[in-house]
Amino acid sequence: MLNVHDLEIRHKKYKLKLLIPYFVISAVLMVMLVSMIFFLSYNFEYKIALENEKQLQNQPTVMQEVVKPIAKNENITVVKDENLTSLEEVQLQPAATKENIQTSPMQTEEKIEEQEKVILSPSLNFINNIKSQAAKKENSVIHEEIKKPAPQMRKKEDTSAFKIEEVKQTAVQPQKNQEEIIPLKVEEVLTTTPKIENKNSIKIERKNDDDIRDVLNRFNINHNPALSLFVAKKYYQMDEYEQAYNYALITNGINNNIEESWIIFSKSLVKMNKKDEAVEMLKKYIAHSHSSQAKQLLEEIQTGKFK
Amino acid sequence: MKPSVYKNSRDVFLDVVNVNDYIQLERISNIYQSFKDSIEKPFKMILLYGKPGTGKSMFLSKLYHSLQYSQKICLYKTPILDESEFFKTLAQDLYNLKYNNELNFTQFMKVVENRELGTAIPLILLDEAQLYSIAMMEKIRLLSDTRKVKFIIALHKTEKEDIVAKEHFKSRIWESIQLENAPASELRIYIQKKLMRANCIDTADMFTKKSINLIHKLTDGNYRNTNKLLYTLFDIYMYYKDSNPSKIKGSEISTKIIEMSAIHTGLINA
Repeated sequence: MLNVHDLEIRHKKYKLKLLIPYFVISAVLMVMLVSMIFFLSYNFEYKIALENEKQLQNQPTVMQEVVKPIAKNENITVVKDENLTSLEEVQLQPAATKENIQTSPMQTEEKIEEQEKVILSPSLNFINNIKSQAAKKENSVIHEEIKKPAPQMRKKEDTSAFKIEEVKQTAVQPQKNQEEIIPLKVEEVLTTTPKIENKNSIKIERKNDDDIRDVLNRFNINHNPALSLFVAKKYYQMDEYEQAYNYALITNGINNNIEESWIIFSKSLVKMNKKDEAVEMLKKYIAHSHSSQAKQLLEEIQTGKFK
Repeated sequence: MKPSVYKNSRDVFLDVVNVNDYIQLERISNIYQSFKDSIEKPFKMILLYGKPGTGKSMFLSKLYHSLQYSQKICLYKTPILDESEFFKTLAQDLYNLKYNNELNFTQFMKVVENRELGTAIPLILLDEAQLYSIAMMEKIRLLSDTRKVKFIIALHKTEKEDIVAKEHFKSRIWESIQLENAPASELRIYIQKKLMRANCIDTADMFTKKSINLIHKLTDGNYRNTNKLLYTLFDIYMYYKDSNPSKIKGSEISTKIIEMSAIHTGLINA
């Protein structure tokens, strides 16, 4: 007797049996796929881990590399770290500044105090660059000396133990810290001969009006005498002596110990045909500061060399 | 469709050897004609062999029915295994000699040799000859050597076939015919002709190429297996017609029901 119900059940089982190979193949493929993905991701993670490990291994040398250029320009950062071994100091310090390593702890403390006192000041690299451009035009060499207002630093000048002659590298590492610290440097003699300029500076062509406007904006914000001095010098170069006089006066009003400001102030007076006033002002300043540059200018005015 | 259609279709595929159910197929017809032509020749033995269900029995039946009125012919569908009984039966059927006592091979040989040849040599058709012993087969060979009786033996491809194929035996076989399973195209004609002969035209139309191919795949073109499968198939159709007609809505033979039939008949091991 035909049992159709039983046949239906057996047929279902038969169909399932037929599908088993497909299930098995699919399962095997899935397992292979998953294992491949796992293997690939594992490899990827392993590579990343290796790279990280390499990076970690390389990290100390990288740190040294980062520190080195700062140490070259900033004597203080090296001297500050008293915990460094002498060997490390030698490695970090350029040969020219080895003398600084030997400076006494007292001197370094003084330097730090000076730094803390100063707030923000414009980068003199910028000024020097413009100066060098101007100097290029005139085919002349300008020697400028910027003396630190701090008395402690002047002592060092007298002893000549902390003199550094630097050729300014205007484009190299324009870090904020550098901008703050550079004005504190004791003495800078800028030789703007074309040869050096080509090597160490990047020429940036800018309009004078834009420069002055930009610097004035900055000056209005922070009333930094270096900025007003820059404007005064700029106006002097542009033969606008009244404006040069005004900004030199403003600079002196903020800080009356800036030699260059007094020089520009006096020169502007001479140019404005106020030679007597200029001589009088220079004499007062020389009496106060004993500035050799001011003395030289006074002599030139009096002898008529400077008109 | 009426339930009776399925019943009639089912009964068409009852596995019985009935000459009236013989389906004239081109390939089989050609074989049959060459077989008949061989009979005319002065042969000693004809070997008809093939796998079970390839139509050997039907072939012998057809031959018997076509020649029974024209010449002396005897068909033994089942083998007579007892030797005495075998010779007594032959004596009775061929020569109308009745033996109450034992009749051995020597005695029967004398009877055969003493007989005068008539217009036609008597023809003896032995089906399922693979069941005869080797000794009995040797005796049949010796009888055929007298040329006073002809034997057509049908057997499966078994061990016996190797015996028949032996050199001394082979030389006595003048004709050897092999019957094979039907190809798919022939199977389709076979099924449809069978159904149409029984006026089951609707069910005959339900067999598409796809369903025939599946049936051929399952039965390997074996007529007996095909008959069994289709008998079960229409049996299931009858069941669904009564209990769940929605399952046999399609105009084609359901693949599922073909597979169920194959499971029932053992063609699919589920």
